[in-house]
Amino acid sequence: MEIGLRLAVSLAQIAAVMGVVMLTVMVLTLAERKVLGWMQDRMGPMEVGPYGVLQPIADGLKLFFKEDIIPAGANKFLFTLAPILALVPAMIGFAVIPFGPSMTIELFGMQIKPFVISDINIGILYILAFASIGAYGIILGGWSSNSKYSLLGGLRSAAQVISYELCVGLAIVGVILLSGSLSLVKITEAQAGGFWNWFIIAMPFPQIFAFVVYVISAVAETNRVPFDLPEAESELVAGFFTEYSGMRFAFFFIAEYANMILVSCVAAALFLGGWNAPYPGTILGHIGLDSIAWMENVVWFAAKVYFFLFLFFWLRATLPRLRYDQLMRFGWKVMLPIALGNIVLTAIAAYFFPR
Amino acid sequence: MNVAITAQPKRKSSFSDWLKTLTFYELLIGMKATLKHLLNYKPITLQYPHEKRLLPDNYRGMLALLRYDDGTEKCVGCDLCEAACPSRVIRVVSGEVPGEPTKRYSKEYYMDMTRCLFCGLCVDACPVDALGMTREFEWAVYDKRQLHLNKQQLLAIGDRSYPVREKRLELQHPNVAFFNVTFKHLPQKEN
Repeated sequence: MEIGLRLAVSLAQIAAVMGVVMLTVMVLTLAERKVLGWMQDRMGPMEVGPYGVLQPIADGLKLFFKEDIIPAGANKFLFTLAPILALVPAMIGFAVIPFGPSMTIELFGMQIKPFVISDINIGILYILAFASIGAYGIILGGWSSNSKYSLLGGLRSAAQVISYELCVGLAIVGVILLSGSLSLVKITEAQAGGFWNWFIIAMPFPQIFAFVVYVISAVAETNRVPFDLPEAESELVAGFFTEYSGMRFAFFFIAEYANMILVSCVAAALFLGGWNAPYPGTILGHIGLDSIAWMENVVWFAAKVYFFLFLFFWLRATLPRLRYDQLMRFGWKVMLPIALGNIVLTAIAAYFFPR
Repeated sequence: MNVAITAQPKRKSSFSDWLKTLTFYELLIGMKATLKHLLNYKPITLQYPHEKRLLPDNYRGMLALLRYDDGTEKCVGCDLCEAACPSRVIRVVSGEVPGEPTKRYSKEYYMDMTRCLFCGLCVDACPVDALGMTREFEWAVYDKRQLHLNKQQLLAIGDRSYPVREKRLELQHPNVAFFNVTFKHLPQKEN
């Protein structure tokens, strides 16, 4: 009974988070095209619904009813597995993201944390591990398609994701040193009490360099412009998902956007204080509305995440694609030394000025 | 002339350059440009099927065969358009007008519009001004063969695009015929 109830509550939480993430993906597909259009003096989609707001639904319906093609000579098992391998790790990472204040509520005699599905004490490590598995989806999808473009896209993706995973991991170490925990909930709580406590500018050692390294690596890891070599339209047709169609293609597509949201959530939680407002406490809490103060926190978290998502679009509208050797040189010769130096300096600072 | 060759000033990597690289200065300039376009958003897009561009006066659209106002075809089957066409769009089968051995007309007239490049050379070549370029351009079809037009179709396009038509040349007043600039290849008619 007890375990059944707990399972039901967990499933409800998972469904809620999945729903919000899928909804955000839908919004993002439209927002990206609109923002990109506006930045390029275009209008973006305008046909479906007023100002094209129903475009994601039309896209989804189209993809759902498209023919599902498995090319001749493709490895059927891996070809089927790859989109799942891409999507599941992207979605599963949200399990440890704290979307709001870490309060507990009593429900059916159980302690429930409403804003985080599971507060495991290695949260950030868990996200990194699953992000690496996501690369398998791309690589296997590229290999199993039996197409030269897909294979080249997969190869590029393998090299790129391995290089930039490293930078992401090392950039995060500084934050972990300062907060002393791998749990995203604890990391976020350590940044409470105003924007000067956010790890991006927090004493004893501001993680601004780590933040820049993390953001650039996150863009590279999600295969977005200017690091979109795995799916370079002008070179590789569509890269690793050239041969995919219908819902399998949609899986890759959703995985890309879900990954964007995930890295934005992690960036917000690690460097920009997560759900903490940039001032101590919450306004709603100060005027005596403690019971709904969590709304303000959730709004702040959403605002930070959407800032990063906007940054993704902004970069896409502005920057041209990097060459492959530039990408590798930048990753290994610039980002990696900066991240390593940041760890050394943060460690020294954290040793002499413990928080 | 003796020009002193001055050495190109050597590009030194100064401190400011280093600082610019470190702070992503060039990237920020680009991002400022895109953000500026986002903030004062003035789209240059025309929502095509709903709003259409004003076509220029000399727009060269779909080709058409024309008639005189009494309904007779202008075409005399001379094949000059076929000869003038650079992409061999036109095929004319010429024949005598029955009972009038001095007059000819085009028995069959085909245009393969899949190949047409709308240069207007056939219109220029026509001695009797039997060909015209309309302002139609929405000719997307599902079957390529629908673009292989015969004489009836071409005449129909001409009928709907040129509702006002001139009289036959021999019915016109000689002065009108003389000043009618559209008949630029015709010799002045004796009367």
